Amino acid sequence: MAEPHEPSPSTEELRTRVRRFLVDNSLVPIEAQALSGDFNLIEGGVLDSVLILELVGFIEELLGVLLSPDDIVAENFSTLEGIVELSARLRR
Amino acid sequence: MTTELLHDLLSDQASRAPDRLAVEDRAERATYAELDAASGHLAALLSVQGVGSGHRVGVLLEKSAAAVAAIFGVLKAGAAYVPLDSNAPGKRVAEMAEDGQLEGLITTRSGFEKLQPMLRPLPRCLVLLSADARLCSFSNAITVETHPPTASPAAPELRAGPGCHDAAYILYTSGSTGAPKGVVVTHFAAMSFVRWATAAFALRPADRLSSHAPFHFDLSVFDLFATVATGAAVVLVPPDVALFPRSLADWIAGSGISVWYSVPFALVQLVERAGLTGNPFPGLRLVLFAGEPFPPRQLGELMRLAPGARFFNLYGPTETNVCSSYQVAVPPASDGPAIPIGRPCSHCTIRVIDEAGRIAAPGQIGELVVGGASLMQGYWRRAELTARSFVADPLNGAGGSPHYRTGDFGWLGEDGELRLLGRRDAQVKLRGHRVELGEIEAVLLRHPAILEVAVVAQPVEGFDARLIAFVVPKENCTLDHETLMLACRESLPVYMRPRELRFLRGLPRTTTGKLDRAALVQPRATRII
Repeated sequence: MAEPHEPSPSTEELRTRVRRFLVDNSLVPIEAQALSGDFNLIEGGVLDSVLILELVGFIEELLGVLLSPDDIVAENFSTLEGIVELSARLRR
Repeated sequence: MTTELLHDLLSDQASRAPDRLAVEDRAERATYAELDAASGHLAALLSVQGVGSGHRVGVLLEKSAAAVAAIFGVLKAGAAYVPLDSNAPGKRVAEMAEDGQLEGLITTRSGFEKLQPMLRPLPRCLVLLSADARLCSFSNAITVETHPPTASPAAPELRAGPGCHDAAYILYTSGSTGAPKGVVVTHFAAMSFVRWATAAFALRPADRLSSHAPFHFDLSVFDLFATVATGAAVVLVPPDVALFPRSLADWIAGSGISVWYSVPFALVQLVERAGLTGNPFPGLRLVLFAGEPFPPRQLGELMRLAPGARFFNLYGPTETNVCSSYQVAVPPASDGPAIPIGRPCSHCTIRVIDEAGRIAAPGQIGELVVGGASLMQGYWRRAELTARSFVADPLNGAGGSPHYRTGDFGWLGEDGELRLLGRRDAQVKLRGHRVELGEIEAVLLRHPAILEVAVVAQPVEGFDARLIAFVVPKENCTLDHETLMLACRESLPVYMRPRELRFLRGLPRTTTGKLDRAALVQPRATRII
């Protein structure tokens, strides 16, 4: 995997980018504010199996890393904070 | 006497093997006797309200054993079931319910509340189940008559039951003019497919079949009715399990599935993202897939991971159900050509015709037309569209049976296998769903500030495609990204929503004035505002 050309994004930047992705792609109409905190993206109908894999691709491109099958689980993808924490952990 | 009606398959199994497992979801397991009793109870509720032969009943429920019982209940009442997507935007569901002229609707209180403000007229008879409805709790179902019937119904014992040429179900698919269209399928047609499938794949009572596709998707016809015809068990994939590759892999391995049927995407995500090694699915003996091409590299990898299973590529639009099949005998080469769609099933004929409507020579590209027992009756309330969809048998003329024009292009190989190339119109396959680009364009055109719009599907490396909408605003009008995306979300299911919007001053045209879709996806061909 090539080194990312740009410096790693800050956690706040990650949060902004992931929130933007979710608002733009959500299955149900959703306001950016509603995504804060522990809003459940799966029960809330924001994500489906295809969107989850697109989001995985989005994070991989953003960070220049590959996610392992064990990263792509409900625990990490149920909330915005879960996704941000996972991304921050993988950031180099 | 042979069984001619789909719901008789259930009654037959219930008397033959009442204690055998019929359906399983995460919350419950129901035997044939239990499924028969629960569906019989719902059928009685519908019958008492005068719902029966010649009527249509919507089923708006989360995928569950209860929903399976509801489907059989509608059939037993003599009506046709219309499965409605509980995840689709309410507006679209209401559109289908209205177009279907439903006499009855089986749903939950919250399902009804979501639909009620948009639904005119209301179906006459509502059957409301509790949100976590189990088969054993069906006696709590509430029926509501929203208005009196226009004609007084005949007493149940005087009413004629459905014949095999009556509608069994209506499945809605994307329509190019902006509204989904209903494909009407009779008991006879569905049964011919079910008989072929149970024989072709030698299904047996010990089998456990997966149900991955939603019930408004035609793959579910195999999952539900081939299972019941065999006396096997259908196991519904829990929706949250299907979300993550690793959890889906664990579920398949742990649930003892022997027959899997889905769109290729579900399987591709397993290969790509589940980290599988060794022989993770030893119980799997059959893997069937349909709906879109399976990329050869991922198919090859999956076949090496499940060496004990046989793999079949099935082909057929909703209008014909599966009409050809191809057994993939050895893992295909990663960079090899697309997998053939194979040979016609025993209930079908498939002909390749040229532009003049004559049979094309082997190797020559033409449109696939399909004849035979499994053909739809027609599009619901769209007589003209139905007429345009059929042609006389290209081989036997008026002496033969009508053939359905699939709009798919392909050719017949020297080896006798059919191969698929693409579409003659603006229909694309996204996540296994048929999508008419015209339907998306029609939704966007409802916006008062839009002058013109064109939607293209740009292929994405590896899989699927990305929808891009090119939008031309009216003069002196401004449009913003947010508002349009919101409009799409309110009216279109997720797989039909453009992933990108580009604003243009005008659409590129060919010299004859036709929209030049190819020019749209070339970056420099259009001026972006």
